[in-house]
This record gives sequence, structure tokens and C-alpha cells, in this order.
Amino acid sequence: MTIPNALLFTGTDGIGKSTTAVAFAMACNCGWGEALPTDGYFSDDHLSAGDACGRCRSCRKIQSGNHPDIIRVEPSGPFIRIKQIRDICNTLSLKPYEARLRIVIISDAQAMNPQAANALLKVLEEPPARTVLILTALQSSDLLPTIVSRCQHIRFSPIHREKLKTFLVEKHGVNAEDAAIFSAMSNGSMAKALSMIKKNSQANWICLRDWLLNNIGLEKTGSLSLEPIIILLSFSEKLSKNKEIIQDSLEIIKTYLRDLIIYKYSPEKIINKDLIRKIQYVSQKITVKSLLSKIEAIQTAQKDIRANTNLRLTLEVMMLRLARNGV
Amino acid sequence: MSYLVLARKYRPQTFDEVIKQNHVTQTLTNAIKSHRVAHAILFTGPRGTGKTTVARILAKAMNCKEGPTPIPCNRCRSCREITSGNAVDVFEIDGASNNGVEQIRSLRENINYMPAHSPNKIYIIDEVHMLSIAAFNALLKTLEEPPSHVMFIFATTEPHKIPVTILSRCQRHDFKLIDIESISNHMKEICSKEHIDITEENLMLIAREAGGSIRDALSLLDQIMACSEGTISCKNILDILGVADRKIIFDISNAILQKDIPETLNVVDEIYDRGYEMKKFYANIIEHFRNLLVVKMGKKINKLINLPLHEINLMQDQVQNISESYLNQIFDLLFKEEVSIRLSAQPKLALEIAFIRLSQIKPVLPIDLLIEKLDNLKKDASAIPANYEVAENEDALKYYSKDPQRISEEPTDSTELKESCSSPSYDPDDNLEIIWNKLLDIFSKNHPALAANLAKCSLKKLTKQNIEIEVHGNDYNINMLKRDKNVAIIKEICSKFFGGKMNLTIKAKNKQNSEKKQQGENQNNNLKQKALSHPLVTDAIEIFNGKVVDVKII
Repeated sequence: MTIPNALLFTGTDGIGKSTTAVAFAMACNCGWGEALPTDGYFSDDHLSAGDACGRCRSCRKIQSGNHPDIIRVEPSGPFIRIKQIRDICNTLSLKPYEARLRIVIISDAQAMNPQAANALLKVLEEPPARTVLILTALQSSDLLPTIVSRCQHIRFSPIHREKLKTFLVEKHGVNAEDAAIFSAMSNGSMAKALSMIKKNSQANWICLRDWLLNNIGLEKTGSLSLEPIIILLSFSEKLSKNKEIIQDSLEIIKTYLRDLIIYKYSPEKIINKDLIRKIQYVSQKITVKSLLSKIEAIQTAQKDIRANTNLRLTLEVMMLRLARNGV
Repeated sequence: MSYLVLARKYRPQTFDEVIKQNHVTQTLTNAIKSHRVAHAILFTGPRGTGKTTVARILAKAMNCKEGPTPIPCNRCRSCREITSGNAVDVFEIDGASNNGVEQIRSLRENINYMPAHSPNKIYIIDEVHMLSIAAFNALLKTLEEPPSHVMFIFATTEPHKIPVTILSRCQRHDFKLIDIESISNHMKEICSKEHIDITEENLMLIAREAGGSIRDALSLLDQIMACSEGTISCKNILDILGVADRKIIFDISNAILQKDIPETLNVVDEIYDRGYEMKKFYANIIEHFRNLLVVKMGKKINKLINLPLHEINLMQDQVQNISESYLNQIFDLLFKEEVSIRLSAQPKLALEIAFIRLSQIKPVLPIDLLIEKLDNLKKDASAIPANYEVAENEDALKYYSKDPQRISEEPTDSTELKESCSSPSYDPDDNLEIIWNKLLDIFSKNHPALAANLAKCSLKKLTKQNIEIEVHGNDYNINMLKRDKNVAIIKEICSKFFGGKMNLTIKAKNKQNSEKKQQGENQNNNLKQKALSHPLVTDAIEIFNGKVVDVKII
């Protein structure tokens, strides 16, 4: 029985941090099919089993999100605000209703604004009895050092490419070829892979990539006559109209450029494996230096977009830089 | 009662147990002994160094039944209440969630009532930096002159956020980060109390990862104890801590220095698959290169690098054939790329790009070395076959250092030069300036780099055996001229020019002298101006319709 009072789960998006937190909550509170112990305190043999049954009342309540003592906090808008944290503090000052171990799950803890994060410090260090706080975040460096120092830090590894692929093939009936692309592109994140194979977006996603790659005009590099410029500009206009896919699109282009560079050094490490012939062809034509400057152009664009610049202008400048030959 | 983490279980309960903050605890102990405890005390310092702990101990010491005592008994009612956190007369307020002016106002209202059963009413405000400005200001008056039974203790990690008006009313105690040795010793004690078997080396590893904070160290220790049943192995610890093995760091830095990109990528892949945080990994690499740079500079290595000796030796091997400026370049670029890795949605990709960028930099050469090489080049130009082609893709550093003559990309027709160098000849009737110009001509044809430095000089004295040169330029010019090699060249050319052995003296121009001279001139000008604008003079000019030809200073 050495459950610490505060846990911090870190890892990329969608690799099961919150799922684990919920499973943990279930395991801690599982009633094993019997009625809840009247005293409310844990006895060791309950927990020695280690895993939840998933059938008892408590398990089902937690699973459906109805358990009064499993408190979940999520960002409202871009931030977790101080009010949400104050609410937790108030709730925690009362005794748990029925759970053996009350659990507070704060997802995306990096979204806490400074006030909220500071307000959490005291309760995080010394929560009341029978209470555990679980924080999930992308990286521990995004949080206040004072928060990290109060938690036990557990890292989640990205899901291995092969495992993800077999999962997609077996559980979701994706054909092996596509599954390979998705698992490579998702960077080990289950949620990302699943969003890619969602019914109607599956075809879309590959279309999107091909559309992007065909339009950034890398094949024709060097011959900037008038016509390609017009194509480039109209492409950036189209892109700027789809605000929600811009960040993804830029990442896709960046990944492709990365592949072009990596191919020169170790061809087996590229991500867009299905495009290997194209990559081979293009990679020979462009120098590392100019590829690096193209990546820099995208990085600059991403930075500018984050800083709320004019979307279309930024994209246009980026496209022109991408198309520029040489340095 | 649920499980208490080590950091809470072993929270010090007396001043003696607090680790490595003697400058604070000693002061407080003495203050208590001599009844000179301030009514407002501020504790600042990094996370996990004992601010809250000391605040609680101080509260106990002040409220203990045995009167203010440096060693609280931990048995009386007040002490027990404070330990369990439900004391009536010690208010531990979370400044971050009670940060409004209303809370401070209600605090002020309650402050006038006497304590229930202890001598003092003590307010501990933790995370005090989060109070709003209004709240701080509402506190000012009370803080300056509280009732005699009230004491304030503030604790914060960010003292710069506290208004100066508050700071000036508090006695401030700064907590220091704790060194690795003390942390690991402390953990050792706890381990023996908990009957945990762990080697000293592993404790050091945890201590290093804790970064000077006891709480961090104990959290990690807790986690390691929970994860590994029975024996605790080094690999286990590395995995839990998410610290890249030292070996991996050495591997990747070697690969970077060798520009072995496939190997670099391999290491990054490996690290990524293990779920290490890319930012942290990158920070480790930066730190490693910093250490390499320190090793390369080779001064006070033991003091500046907190690593075991064998690792320092390894580092020395690593940098043996690498120039300092190259290391500097890498270090620089690593720093620049840090932002893009921090902000990137795909840190791994950004990391890879950063490493590829690293492989693109070409080592620079120190500037005097370059000048020297250029000089050699001009001199030896004749020795080079005209159709020699420079291998393009060869590493710059390698071929510079291997064979300095190869730098020449356009061999000049130097035979012509050699002939022309004898054309200006010495004529004893010329004045010093003309002679100097002739000399410069010769220099610029044969030793252009040297000539550039000499151009900032003048010939001061010339006798049959002696030549004295005065340098007007900066220290750099003087140092260049004073090099043995350059002195030899000048001597040789001079003796050829004047037809006899010459002794050379190089002198820096006396700056003070010239400044004085200039000052004198300025003064003269002022006087002249004064004279010209004197009303008598202006009147005279007007009346006689004249002109001032000259002003003489008598």
C-alpha cells in the first residue's frame, strides 16, 4: 500500500494517460462484486488483486463517469482556471462520499494558468486523507517546477509502430498498407491514429497529404516561371481558408521534408514509406542545405501563425520560400 | 490512514533536522534564544529546500509550552496540533487560493483577538507571491505594526513578485539549493530507517536528478521503491527517472562530433521509443557539450563539473582532437535550436532537424591563424603547381591543418612580385616619410598581412644601425608586429633595403602625449575664439571696416 498522494502522467497525446488514470481509479475502488465495505477504508486484500473487475457497481460508475468521488477536471476553453481549482479544494475539504480512495484527475495539467497552478500547490502537497491527485500532461517541463516536485512522475512511452499497425489491422479492419502509413504518421499516438482512420476521414487524410505534397512544388524546384507562382499562391489561399487543418498540414509537409533529408543518410528511417520512390527521386535533386532552409521557412510560419499574424500572407510567404531554389 | 510519501513522513520537526540551511536555522535559533524574533519573516528559495518546513518549526518554537525555545518539545498540545495541521493559533494560509483583498481584510479583522491557548497567533502564508497587488497593499499597515501577539511568516519561491514595500517590512531569509552529497546522505539515512537496500552510487544518481531539491529527491526515491520490489538496480532507476544513460549521451555527442548522421538518428530513435522526454534529453546534451567545453578549456575542471573522475577522463578523450572554437559553434547552435524544440508539436522531428543542422556547420579557424595562413600562402605561392585543384568536399579543418599551402585557389604569379620588390631603393636624402612609404611598398608586395599592420605605423628614428617604428594602431596591431616571426621578416627586409644589419625597435604611440597635445590645441582655439568675439574687437572691425588676419597668442 504505497500509493503516493500525487501522480503525474506524461506522454504524447492519446497514448492512454487518462485511460490509465481511470483504470487506476477503478482498481483502487473496485468492490469485487460485493457491496461496498461499510467502514469505507481499504483493506489490503482488496487491492492485492491489482486490477479492477469492471463489473461491480463502483467500477461501472467510474467507467460511465458517474462516480461522485472521482473528480475529473478538464480545460474549459484554452485554460484550466483558478475557479476550477478552488472548487476542487472546496470539495476535497469534505469527506469522500463512498469511495475508498477519492481520485482527482486533472487532464492537460499544462493548461492550468499560473494562478490555478499555484492554487493547486498546497492541496497537491498535502491532500486530505483518502485522496489521490492525478495530473496528466504532455511534458513535465510545461508545468511549474513546484508542481512537478510534489508529484511522482510516470512517463508513458509512445506506442510502438508495429504494435499500432497490428492493432489497426486487427481491431479496425484497416488494410495493412494504410495501417502502416497511419501508424508511422501518428507518432505512436493511439488517438491520432484513430482519428485518421475514422470512417470518412480515412480517404481524406491520404488525399490531404497527396494534395499538399503535389502542391508545394518540390519536384519543379528551380523553374519558377510565372505560372507556378500563381499555383502556389492559389494553393496558399485554399489552405488559409481551412483553419483547422493548417497546423496538421504544416506538420505533414515538415515530415515529408524531413524524409527527404533523412533519405540521404539512412533510407530505412523515413516515415512516409509508401512514397519511397518519389522521395528517392526528389531527394537526389535537392541539397540538404536548401531542405533545411525550407524546414526553417515552415518553422517560421508556424511561429508566426501562433503569434496571430495574417494567415494568408504568412502562408504565401512560406510557399514562396519553399519554392525558392537553392539557399 | 493512507500512505504518507517519504517527503511528508520525514519532514523535519526540529531545526537540527533541517538539511544544509544552517545560515537560516542558526540565525533563527539565536534569535529565539535572545528573544529577538522579528514579527514578519519571509522565507524564499527554490522548491523543496525547506521553506514551509522551517516556517512550521518556527511556529512550534514560538508557541511551545516551554516558552519560546529553539528546540520545540513536539509533545505539548501546541506542538502536536501544529504537526497534525489543525492548530487554532497557527493559521497556515494558502496564498495562492486565498489571494484576494477580501481574504486579507477578514484576516485583519480576526487579528485583533487574542490567541486561544498559546502565546502567539502565527500566520503562515505559503506561496505568498500569488497575492494580488490590492491584497498586498491591504496587508501593509498590519504587517508593519501588528499587535504584539501576532507573527507573520511568508514563504515563496518567487520573491521578485513581492512588492518592495512588503519586502522592506520583512526579515528575509534565502534558502539555498542543497548539494548532491548532502541529499544522498539524507536519503541514505531514510533508506536505512525504511530498511531499503540501495547502493550509494544509485543514491548519487537520484540526487543529481533531483537538482538540489530534497522533496524532488524523496519523490523519486519513493517512486523507485514502489516500482522495484526487492533489489534496486541501476538500470531500473534510469528507466524510472527517464534519465538518458550516460553512455547514450556519450554516444550521441560522439556521433555529432564525427558528423555521423545515421548513428545520431539511431540514438534519437532509441531514446524516443523508450519514452524519454525530448526536451530533457536535449537539455542533457546541451549540458554535456557545456562540460566538454569546460574540459577543453581545462581550468578548474573539478570545481566546474560535478561528475565522477572517470567520466571527466572520457570527456577529455572525446575533445582531444576537437578545436575549442568548433565546440563553441556547436554549443551556440544547440542553444539557438532549443526554442524550436520547445515549441514544436513534434519534438522528435525538431530534434532530428537540429542535429542535421549541426552536421552542416563548418569549423571556423581563429582569425590570427587565418591571417598567418594567408600570409604563408602568398609567400609560398610559387611553390604550388598551377593546376592544383582543391578537393571540394573535404573537411575544411582537416585540410587547413594538414597542409597550409593548399588553401590557394588562385595561385598568383609571384615571380613578377619577387622581381619588383627590389625596385624602390634606399636614398639617404629622402625624409623619413618617403623612406617609410618605400618600405611599405615592399612589405605590401611580399607580406600583405604584415603591411596592413605596418600601415598604421610611422618611422620615428633612423640611424645607421637603428630603426624605430611607432605604432598608432590598437593592441592587436602591436601584438601582431611583435611576434618573433614578423620581427624577423621586418628586420630582414630592412637590412636588405638599407644594405646593412639593422636593429628594430617597436614602440606603441604614447596616447597620453597626443591627447595632451590635442588638449593644448583645443585651448588655443578657445582663446582665439574668445579674442575674436570680444566686443572691443568686433567694434573695431565694424568701425574700420577691417578684417582679422591673424590672432597670436602671447
